[in-house]
Amino acid sequence: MDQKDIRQRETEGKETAVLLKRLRVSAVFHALLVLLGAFVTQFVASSSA
Amino acid sequence: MIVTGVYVLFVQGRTREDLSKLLMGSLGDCSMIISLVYAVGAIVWCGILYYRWTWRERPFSYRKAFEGARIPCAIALGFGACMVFNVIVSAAATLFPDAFVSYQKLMGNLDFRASILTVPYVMLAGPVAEELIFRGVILDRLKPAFPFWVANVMQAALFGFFHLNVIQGLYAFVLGILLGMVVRVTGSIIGSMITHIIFNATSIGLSVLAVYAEDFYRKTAIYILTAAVICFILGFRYYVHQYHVVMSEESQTLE
Repeated sequence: MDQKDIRQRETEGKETAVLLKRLRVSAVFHALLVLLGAFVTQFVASSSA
Repeated sequence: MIVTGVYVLFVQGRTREDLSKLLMGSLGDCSMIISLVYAVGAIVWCGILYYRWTWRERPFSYRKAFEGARIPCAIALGFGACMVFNVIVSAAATLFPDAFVSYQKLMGNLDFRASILTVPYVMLAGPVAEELIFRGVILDRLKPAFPFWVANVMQAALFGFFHLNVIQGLYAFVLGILLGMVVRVTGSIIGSMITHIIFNATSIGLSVLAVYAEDFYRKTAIYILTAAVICFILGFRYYVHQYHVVMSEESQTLE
């Protein structure tokens, strides 16, 4: 395996790590958004009843 | 409404006139109406979100998901967990009464004698809504991004936080972990809905027994508790074993 291949693999690894980080941040953000939605639904229900 | 009707007419043995009086009387009780409106709203929007996730396996085989002892063990787990948690919470409440003041007040609001609407909310609408929100949408969203155990702990923590009470939040967290495992094993939130409904129904059933059949309840409490502990151990062991089977099958598929 020459230097070029090693560098290419390192770059791919870094890109995968960045993508995974983005996926995780997005998943946590969406989970918190859904939780907020549940609280808002409760608030709307209490306002309308 | 159907659950309320069945409960009043068949469990309590009352007449139709009693049922209509109870329902009319319950209309004045805002807290349960709010809870029911919230649950129906959450079922609608979370149901849409849950259905729309595109990565889930389709067509899904429900026969395969609920094969073997999965449904009986989901029921046993719900019944057993409710009793075991109740015993732990009662023991802790005796030791630290000051810490349980807000919890006792919260539980008082969920007393079925305060409003007949408590029964359909606690036994049906509440568990279905919570399963769709936490094990449905939230766990579904976290699962592709994290290892399953991390996603499960995260959704259980959010489930605990959602209850906005330290004591209820703690046991909701543990229940959330168990329900997440049921979802992982069966691959469907119907399994966790069954466990959650049985968990809440056990709580209501015990209250009914304690109020309407006090002597019977006092005499049989030890047998009910023993049966519940056995059910909990059986259900828990089954799902832990199945969880390991599912995880090892998945890792073999990835290899």
